[in-house]
Amino acid sequence: MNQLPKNKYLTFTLLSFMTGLLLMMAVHTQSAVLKSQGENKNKAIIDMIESLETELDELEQSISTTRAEIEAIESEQATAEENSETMQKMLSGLRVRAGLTEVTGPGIIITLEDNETGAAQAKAQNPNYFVPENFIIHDKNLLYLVNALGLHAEAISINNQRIVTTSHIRCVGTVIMVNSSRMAPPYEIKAIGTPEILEACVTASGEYKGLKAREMPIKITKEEEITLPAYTGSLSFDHTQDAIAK
Amino acid sequence: MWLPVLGLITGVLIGSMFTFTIPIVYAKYLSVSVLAALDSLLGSVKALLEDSFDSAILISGFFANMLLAAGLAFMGDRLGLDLYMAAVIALGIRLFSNLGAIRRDLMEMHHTRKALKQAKAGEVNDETQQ
Repeated sequence: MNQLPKNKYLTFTLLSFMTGLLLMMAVHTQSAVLKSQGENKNKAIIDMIESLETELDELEQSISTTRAEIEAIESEQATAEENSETMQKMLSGLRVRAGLTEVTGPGIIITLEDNETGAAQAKAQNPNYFVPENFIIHDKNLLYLVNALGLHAEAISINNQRIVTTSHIRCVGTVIMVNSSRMAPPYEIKAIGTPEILEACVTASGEYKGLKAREMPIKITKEEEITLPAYTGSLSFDHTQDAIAK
Repeated sequence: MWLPVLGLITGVLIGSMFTFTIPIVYAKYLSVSVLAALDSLLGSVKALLEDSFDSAILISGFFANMLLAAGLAFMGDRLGLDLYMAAVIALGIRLFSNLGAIRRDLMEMHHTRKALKQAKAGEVNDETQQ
């Protein structure tokens, strides 16, 4: 062995040195590999966690948004319901005011009749000067009485004909027409309101005084509760439009 | 005799000191190459002991084995086979067999030396007797 040439040992030593170098290189590289693998693993897990967290955040946000939406819809619905309720109330109130429903309340009843006894007496006393028109109730009598009531009465009817915005009281020959339906004595004017005020309105009116002076049988009764019928005619508004809405 | 061992230790020390690294992708090839290099070194130790050492064989074997091992690993990666395992197993077996041979050679050498010593001692005794 000692006889081996030096260059053989040299080669061997050189290669050994190289091997040692490579060995450490491999060791270091491998540790780097392991480290990177660990990092990769951790990184993958961290990435996953982060992405899940962001997803969670998004989902939570969407939950809160959805909740807010639900709330908004619910409140909208509630307001819609409230609106429709108030509208219904308003509508029914308006229907009452418009006279489209039967109504009850305190008020007065004015009963008018043709003065038949007076007519008979006058006819008997002085037939030549007997004027039958002076002893009957005319459309104007009713109209003025209704006008006298108008300011304070909430609802008025004459013989089951409800007085509404389109109502008219006219004389057609020998009969009185209210709402285009014929009336016959006795005439019964019903008015809802404070009975005392209504009575005062009527008694203070010239028409009442005139009728009394002519001894027409007119009678006012205050009632705790009277019932007025609904207006059954048509209420057509073909041409009128709401100026504000338009 | 101890020069190659010194070389190996120096290499390890320098490698530790400077911490050279290669791209991670080639880590496996380098590891297999190192195994091949170690095998070559052990083989040459054996050759030294058996007096059949040839630096040309060592150098060619060293690099050829390294290249083949790394090449196998590389090819295995390309083919989706753990071909580097073939290199690892073959080289592992060779390492053990080389180590065994070295052990036996060393034992033999030890016995020969002992016998020589005894023979020498005998000769000395003969001389003194004479």
